[in-house]
Amino acid sequence: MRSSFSPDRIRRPRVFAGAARAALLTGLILGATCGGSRSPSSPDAGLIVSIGIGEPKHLIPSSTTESNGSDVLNALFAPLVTYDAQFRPVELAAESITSPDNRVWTIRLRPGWTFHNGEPVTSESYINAWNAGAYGPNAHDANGYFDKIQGYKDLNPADAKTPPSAKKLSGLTKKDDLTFEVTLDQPYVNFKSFLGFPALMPLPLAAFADLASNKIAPAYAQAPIGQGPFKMKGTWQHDQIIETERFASYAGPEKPRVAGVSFKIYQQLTTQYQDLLAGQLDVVQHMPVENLSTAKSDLGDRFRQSPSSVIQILAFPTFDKHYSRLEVRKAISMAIDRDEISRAIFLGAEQPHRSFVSPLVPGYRANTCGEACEFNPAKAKALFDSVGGAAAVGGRIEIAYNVDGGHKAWVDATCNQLRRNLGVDCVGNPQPKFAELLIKLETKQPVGAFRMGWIFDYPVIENYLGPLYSTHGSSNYYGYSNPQFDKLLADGDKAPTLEASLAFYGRAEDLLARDLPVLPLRLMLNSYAHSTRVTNVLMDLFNRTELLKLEPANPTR
Amino acid sequence: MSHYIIRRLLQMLVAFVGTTFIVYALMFKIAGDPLQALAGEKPLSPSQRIQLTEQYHLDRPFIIQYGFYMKGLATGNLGRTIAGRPIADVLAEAWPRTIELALLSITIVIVLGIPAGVLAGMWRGGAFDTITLTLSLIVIGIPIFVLGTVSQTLFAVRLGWFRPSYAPELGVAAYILPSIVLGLLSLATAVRLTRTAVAENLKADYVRTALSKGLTRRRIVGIHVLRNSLIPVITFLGTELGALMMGAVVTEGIFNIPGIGGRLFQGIRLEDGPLVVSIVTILVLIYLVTNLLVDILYAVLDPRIRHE
Repeated sequence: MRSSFSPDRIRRPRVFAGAARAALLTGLILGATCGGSRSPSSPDAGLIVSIGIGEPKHLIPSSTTESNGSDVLNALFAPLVTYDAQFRPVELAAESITSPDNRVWTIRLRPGWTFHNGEPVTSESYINAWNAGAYGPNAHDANGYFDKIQGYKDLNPADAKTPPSAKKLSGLTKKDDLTFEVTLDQPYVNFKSFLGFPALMPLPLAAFADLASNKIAPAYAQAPIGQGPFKMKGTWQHDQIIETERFASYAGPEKPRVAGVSFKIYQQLTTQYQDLLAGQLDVVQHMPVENLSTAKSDLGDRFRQSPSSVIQILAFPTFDKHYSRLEVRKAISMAIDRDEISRAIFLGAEQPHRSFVSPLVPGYRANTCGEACEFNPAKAKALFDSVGGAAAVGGRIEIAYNVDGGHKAWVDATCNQLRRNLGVDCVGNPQPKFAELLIKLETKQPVGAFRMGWIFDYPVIENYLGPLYSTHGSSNYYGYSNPQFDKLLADGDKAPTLEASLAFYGRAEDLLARDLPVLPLRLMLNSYAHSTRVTNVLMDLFNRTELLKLEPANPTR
Repeated sequence: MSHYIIRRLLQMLVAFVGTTFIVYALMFKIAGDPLQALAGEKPLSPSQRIQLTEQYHLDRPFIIQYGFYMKGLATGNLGRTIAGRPIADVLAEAWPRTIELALLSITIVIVLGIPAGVLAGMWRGGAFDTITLTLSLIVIGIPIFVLGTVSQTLFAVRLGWFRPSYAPELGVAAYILPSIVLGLLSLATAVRLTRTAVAENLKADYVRTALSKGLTRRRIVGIHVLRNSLIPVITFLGTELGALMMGAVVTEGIFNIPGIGGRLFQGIRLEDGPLVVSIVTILVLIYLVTNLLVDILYAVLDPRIRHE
C-alpha cells in the first residue's frame, strides 16, 4: 500500500518544438561547459556501484518501514534470516531458530560476527535493538511490528500520555552471549519468516546514548553501524548520497564482489533514468512509467523485470449498500477485462492477477478467485440485470482513486469496460491523496468502490490475509468481517507447522473467493535497469538490489 | 521618504501574516485528520499520535496553534520535519544551492538579455529583432518542465555536454544547464523589455538633440539611451530574483538539485506540513522584501510616488 510513485508526465507532442530553440541559446556559452565524464567499461574489482534511491526517512532499523531506508539497511546489515527460492526462511545471521510450540522461540546466533566498529554481535545486540524499537516514547516507525512479543503493552500503554510501566520487553531473555529467547503473546507460526524484516536488525552499544532508557544517539542515525557486507563511508549526506564500502570482516557466507555501493538520492525517477543513460548511475531500481515504452530499445537486456509482492485490488465499502449484493460485485468483476488493461495501459508492467495474495509467498495458489475473475461480459450483464441493473448501484458506479499515484488511466479504462459490458454509467472519483480517501472511508462517506494496493512486509500469506481481510485488520478499510475467516486465520497462526498452517490459510482465502469483499485486479512487476559497468544485477523479494550478487562487468571487447 | 517606507513596512506585515496564516491553515486545518495527513498512508501508533499532537499543539484551538508557530518562527525555532530533522538544518543546507542557482540564472539573464534587447531595439523590425521575438514567444509558450526535460535529454544524455543531475564535485559548473533552463523565461522577458525601452528612447527628443550635436550613435546608445532604458529592466530583475527562487521548484526537481525548491517539492509529495509551511513562509518573506526594495527604488527614482 505504500507503493505509490507519482511520476510527472511529459507532454510529448511539444518536445521537439523546444529542442531546436534550446540548442541555439546554449550554443552561446559552450566555452564554459564541462563534459559529462563517461568512464569506459572495464572489469574492476574496485568498482563502486551507484544505485538510485529517494531520500530515506530514517536509517535506524526499527524506524525503517519504507523502501529507501530499507535499501540502505540492506547494505549495512544482514538479517537473521533470508529467503530461499520457495520464499521459505533460511538462517543467515542466525545459526538456528527453533520453537517447540511456536510461542517461545530460541534464536541462536552464528559466532564470529562483528559490527563495523569491531564490537562483537551478541544476543544483547538484538535484545537492546528490539527494546528500543518497541519502546513507545521513542515513537519509532516500526513500533507496531513488535506487538506480538510478550510485554509490548507495558512499553506502549493504551493512553500514551502515561509513561510506560516497563522499559524492556518481558518476552526477550538472554540465554548466553549468542542465544536468546523470544516469548510471544500467542503462537505465531510465521515468526521465523518475520525475522527477515529490516526493522529487526541488531544495534551495537555505540548506537545508544542511554541504554537503560532505550535512547538512540543522534549521531548514530546519521551513520549507522551494522554487521552487514558494507559499512558507511562518512555520514548520510541528506538529499545527495549515502556512500558505503566493503566491510572486510563481514562474516556472512557470501562476500561482496564490488568495492562499495553508493546510494544516490534522487527527487524524481525520471532523473535517475536520464543519469543511467548518460552513464552517471549504475542501477535504477524502479523504472519511471514514462520511460517503459522506450526502455527496451534504449537498453536492450539491461532493462529487466522482477516479480514484486504488490497486488492491486478494487474494494467495496461494506457501509455502501449499493455494493452489498454479491451479484453486483461479481458482475463488476466479470465485466472487467484484466488482460486488456494490463496490455494497453501498463504495457505489461502490471500483470492480470486472480488471487487475493501475491505469488511471492508459500501457499500461493493461482486463480483462487475462479469464475468471478474470468472476463465474461455476457454472463456479467445477465447477472447484473438479474439484481436490477443500474438501479442496484444507484444509477452509476464510482471508482475512487488517489490522483498522486498515476491511477487515472486504468480507472478510466475500467469504467469504459463497465459502461460497455454492463450498460451502466461509471465514473472515476479522484481524491488528492490516499490518506484523504481513508478519512472519507472512516467517516463512512459514499466514495463508491475504491482502489488499493498492498505490498507485503515479509513473504508470508498471512501478511496479506491478516491486515487486509480480517475483521480488525490494520488496512481493512472496507470493513469486511467474517467470523469464519477470522477463526481460520487464528487457527493458521497457531498451527504446529508451516505446512499445517497453509491448509488453514488456504481455506480462509477460499472464503474470500466466495464473498468477494475485494476484486483482485493486477500484480505489479518491478522494472529495473542497469549500466554497462555492472552485471548480475538481480532484485530480491523486496525489490532491492541483491548487493552480494553484483559483479563488475567483463570487458566486451 | 521615511513615512513612505513605514507605510510599506506595515503593509508588508499584514501581507506576511495573512499569507502565512493561509498556508498554515491549508497544511494543518483543511486536511480532515491532520495527524493522518502528517503520517501519510501508514497507520499511526498511539505514541506517535501523542508525540505529533504535542509537537504541533493539535489539541489546542487552531488560532493558538498558529500563534505557537509564529512564536517559534520569531525565535528562530522552525520545528522539525516529519522525519525528525531540524527544519533549520534542512534550510541551511538547501538555501545556498538555490541562491547560487538563482544568481547564476540572473547573471545569464543580464549578460545575454540586455545586449540582445539593445541590439533588437536599435534595429527594430530587422532580422535580429524578428529572430529574438520569435524565440521569446516560443520560450514564453513552453512550460518550464518541458524545457527542462528536453534540454536534459538533448545536452546531457545525447550530447554529453553536461551531467543530467546535480554533481556537487563540479562546483558552479553543475548549475549551468539548470540555471539556463530556469532563466529562459526571464531572459525572454528581459529581451522584450529592453528592446521596447531602447526603441522608445531612441525616438526621444534628447536623442535627436544628441545626434544633431554630432555625438556618435555608439555613445548615444551606450551612455544615454541605455541608462534610461534600464530603469524598467532593473526593477523587473529585482522582483524576478524572488520569482526565480520559486521557479526553482520545477528545475531543481528535474536536475535533482538538493535546494529549497527540491525540498518544497519533496515536502509537498510527502505531505511534510511543517517543512512546507516553513519554506513557503520564507519564500513569502523574500518576495515581500524584494518587492519592498523595488518599491523603495521606484520612490527614489520617481518622486511622484513618494509624495502620493
